[in-house]
Amino acid sequence: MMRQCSYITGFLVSLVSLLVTPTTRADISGFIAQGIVYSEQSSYIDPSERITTELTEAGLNITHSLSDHWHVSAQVIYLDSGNRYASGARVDYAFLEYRTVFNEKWQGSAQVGRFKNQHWLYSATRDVPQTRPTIILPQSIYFDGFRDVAISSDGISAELNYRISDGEWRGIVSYGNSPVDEMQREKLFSPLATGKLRQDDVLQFSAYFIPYSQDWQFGVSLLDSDFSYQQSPNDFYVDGVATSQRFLLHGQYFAKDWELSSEIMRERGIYKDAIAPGFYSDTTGDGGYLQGRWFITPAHTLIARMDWYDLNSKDRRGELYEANGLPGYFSYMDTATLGWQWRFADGWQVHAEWHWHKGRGRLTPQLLPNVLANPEEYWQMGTLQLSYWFTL
Amino acid sequence: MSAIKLPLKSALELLGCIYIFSIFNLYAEVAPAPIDELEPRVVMHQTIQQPLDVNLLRKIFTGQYGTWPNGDPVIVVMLPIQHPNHAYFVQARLRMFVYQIERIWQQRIYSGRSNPPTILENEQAILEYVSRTPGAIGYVTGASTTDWPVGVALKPRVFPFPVAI
Repeated sequence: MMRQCSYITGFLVSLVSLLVTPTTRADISGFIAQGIVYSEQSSYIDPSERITTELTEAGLNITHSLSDHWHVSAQVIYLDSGNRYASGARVDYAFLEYRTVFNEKWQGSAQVGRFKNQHWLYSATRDVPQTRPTIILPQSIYFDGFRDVAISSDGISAELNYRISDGEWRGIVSYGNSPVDEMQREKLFSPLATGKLRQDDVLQFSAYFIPYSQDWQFGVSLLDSDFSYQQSPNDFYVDGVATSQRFLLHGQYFAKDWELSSEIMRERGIYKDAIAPGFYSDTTGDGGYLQGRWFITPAHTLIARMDWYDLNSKDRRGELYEANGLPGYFSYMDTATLGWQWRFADGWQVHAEWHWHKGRGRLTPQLLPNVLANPEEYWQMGTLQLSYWFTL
Repeated sequence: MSAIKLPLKSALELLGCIYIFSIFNLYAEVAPAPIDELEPRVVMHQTIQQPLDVNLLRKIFTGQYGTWPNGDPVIVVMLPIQHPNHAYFVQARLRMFVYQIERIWQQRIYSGRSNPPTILENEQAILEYVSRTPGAIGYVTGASTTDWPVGVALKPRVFPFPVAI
């Protein structure tokens, strides 16, 4: 199914590219960013280095209007971020879109192919340096271990906008799945896993309201996703299935010189077999963040954020982990962040930030934590990144 | 301190002044308003006949309105983000903040859902571009609309706020 969707996506993009005529409009945008990361006693980026340059991001996208209603768009991206994601190039999205305006109140669109997750505040642009509030997003919601699975899906997505006198409602529903390669399997599952991990499907829904005044927005979203694991010969793990369900609330308030953003979630994880025959686990975790941005001048922005995450709401101190011989701090991660953003020229930006962490619950691999590389409950991390973006 | 007295003659003179002022005001309501040199105005290609309101303008200037009713693609033309007239237009007329507009554009461009806006360095360039590009819409200050660039054969349509056709 996943491979088929990838083929379909490639076919669609090739087909519509052939249909391009001189009268249609194409725009190309891109970005490149390089940074350095300091972290001590942590496997988040690279456990062997205190300072590393494994913070490279580059992307190129094309959006092509084929007619009044039909559009095609695609983006390729290259990432090198140490243990955060699987390094290398990938197709972030590639889809065919139909957009229409029904009347002055109703507007809609549908995408088929590999489409981006539009359901959370930063989900659609978490891979684009100049669009993020910080280099490292709040891990409670934007867990880097799930980056490729969460950022896009192969399938279909539909959006409907309805305007009323007080503002506008936006509803999005999407269905599909994401390919999981070997590197992602190791990060999500464990380096000892040699079988085949796949996301069978993911169904998402979100609804947002933006008032006429435009000074705030509020949204709610739901996610239901199924995974399956197929054992390989000499595998440490066995056949099994997992289900992930998320309920999120999203809110933002906009003032002239500052902005307040918050997202909170409850996440249920159900595991059956996989770890061992007969294994069953059903836990609910929660988390969220509160973030303030202060626009000192058009060029300078300060950011402050608190982020909370507990893997299991019935075991917030990690006592169950400790009973199994693992440090309890792998069951939570709370983070305070201070950051600064400087746009010193058109298309150029410097991001600098510092993170103070308590706990290691959002480090990969989650199923088999790396205790040797993460010996302390408290740890810190600093990042600096230079970004350039352009439109041709 | 003596009390202020208003003699009859003075009262009649005052009423007369109010009447004349009222007449002047009535005239002022029907007479064309002088162009405010700092007033941002929407300019769009002659072929666009779409009625506009603030909600629709927000959609257009955030890349969320792709096609005009006549089938032409909506081509949004803006000044650079640092230009003071851009901030003035966004805040005073769209009633949004520059960072909000930018965030929505970036979100749409980098998820493949909008073509990027055309950024031009000055208002004369916007007038020239809009006048010769079907589907183009932009904004300029009142001062720019009195000084058309050389070579513009088809003047763009210009609307003060509130916009309506």
